[in-house]
Amino acid sequence: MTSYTMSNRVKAKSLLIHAVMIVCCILFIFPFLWMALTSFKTPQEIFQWPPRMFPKEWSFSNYQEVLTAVPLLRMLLNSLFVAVAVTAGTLVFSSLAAYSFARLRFKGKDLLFSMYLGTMMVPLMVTLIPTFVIMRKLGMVDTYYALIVPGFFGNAFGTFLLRQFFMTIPRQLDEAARIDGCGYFGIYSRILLPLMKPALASLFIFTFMGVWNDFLWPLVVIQTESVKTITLGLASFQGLYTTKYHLLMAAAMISVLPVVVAYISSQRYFIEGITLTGLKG
Amino acid sequence: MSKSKANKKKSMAESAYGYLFIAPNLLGMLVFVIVPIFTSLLMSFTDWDLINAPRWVGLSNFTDKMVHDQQFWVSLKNTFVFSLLTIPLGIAAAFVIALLLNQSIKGVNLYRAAIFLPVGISMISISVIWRWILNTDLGILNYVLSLVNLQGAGWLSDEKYALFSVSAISIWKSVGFNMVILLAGLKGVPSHLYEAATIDGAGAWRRMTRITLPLITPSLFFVSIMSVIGSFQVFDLIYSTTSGGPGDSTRVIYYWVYQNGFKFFEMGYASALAWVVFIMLFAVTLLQMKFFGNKVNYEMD
Repeated sequence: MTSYTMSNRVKAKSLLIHAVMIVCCILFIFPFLWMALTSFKTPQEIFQWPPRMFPKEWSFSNYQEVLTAVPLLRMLLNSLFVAVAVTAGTLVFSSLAAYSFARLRFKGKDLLFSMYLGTMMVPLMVTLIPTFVIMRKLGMVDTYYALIVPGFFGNAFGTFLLRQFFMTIPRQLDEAARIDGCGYFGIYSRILLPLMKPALASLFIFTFMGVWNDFLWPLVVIQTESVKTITLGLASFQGLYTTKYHLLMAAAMISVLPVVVAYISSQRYFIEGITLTGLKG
Repeated sequence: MSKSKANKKKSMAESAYGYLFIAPNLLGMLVFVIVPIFTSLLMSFTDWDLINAPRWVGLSNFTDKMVHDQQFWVSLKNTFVFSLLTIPLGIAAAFVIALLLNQSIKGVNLYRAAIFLPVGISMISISVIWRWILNTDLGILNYVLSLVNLQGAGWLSDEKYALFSVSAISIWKSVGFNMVILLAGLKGVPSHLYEAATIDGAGAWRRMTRITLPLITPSLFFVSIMSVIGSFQVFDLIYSTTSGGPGDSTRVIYYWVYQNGFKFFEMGYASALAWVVFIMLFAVTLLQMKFFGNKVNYEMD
């Protein structure tokens, strides 16, 4: 009897949780759904009141119009190119520096490391103007270099994160490899890096997402349409077509869809990567 | 004798490799972070329009210009209101969702994935979408409200509501991030503690305040630090929804720095403003460390 009421209570509780979570999910998914549905509607349908959920006729003409007005596909490729370049550079150079901080002894190491930690607190706005001036002096403003070079050598956060992971690998592995005649670079590349795969994957996702979604820096250094990233491109598109929501939703779709596809196909790594980065960082 | 020589040679090789491996990363840090930090500090004592040579003005950017800059004070106030709205509500919402997802129910991964989705999408795309939903005349939100006989509003175009609306969008975007961190924290609490407490007769509230909260303080500390950093530096959202308007109602400090630097080309004054943001952020982070410092409990690690 008691076990019967108990299981009924448990059932009621889990039903309630499901109900709350389903409402939550609608709250988080619906805006994207509404964007998708709007992007297939004609301008007349946009102005219809009351609004209809589904388009009367599914039309791709908004997409055609958007893509002839602004080279959004080119901008997607720009984002991909810039994000891949910066992420690759960050993984290589931050992991090398992290290995050095975690394993090698040299003068001034502690001082350098506390300097790294100190810079992590400085807001981007502080370094933005001088970095812009430096890029101008180097003649890199309004080129891919401006988007890639400042992040290419890795950053304090990435180095710090990977150092924390290197510290968790037992030093006996290094020593065994040394006895077998492995040099410092060999220990780094052949022994330790393969063990760092989860950490590297986390940093990969974190950096890639950061660069892909970055807006302020591209806004400051890029004017030419063909060099713009998708985030910047969408913002300038919005500046031109402020209230043409059928076109805006099509443009937003183009910017969101690749990310959503990547997310759905690997959401576990996404979420675990971010969690891991958060817990260690 | 020869052994110590060999050791010396080895440690010299070790430092050489140490410097070599760190060099590219350090170079990038020096050129794009360290030098800019100090340059920015110097620039904050100048008047510079990027074209003419910078003119040294001492502290007057801070003591004169900033003090008399109405917009600065308004933007500071807006930043604080935005932070006070987004940080507690954002963390509380994330905590409730994390608690629900920590129960043994089916479909947790699916729910988690849906709520986390906006975290990976750029703020600009999200702003574009929400501008459409919140549109005064054609937006779906006002339509839904009219269905239940509620008066709609110009959520982003009315000075009364705009700051609240952008705060809501910000919470909506970041709640998934806070949730996965807190959920990971909750998963780390050993279940035998709850069993023991239940046997000892502790109710749900006591289990929450005596076991759950103390043991997830590292996660709470992390999300609160990240939330403060994020809300002090909110920019993309403001840029693409309201541009600081209507009036001054959503002009936040980061947006004001940007306008001074890249619209009015007041590089010196913009640097001074940026340093004020930095100092405030630093102070608040220290306060948080103090607050959480004696509460952070790592025993279970």
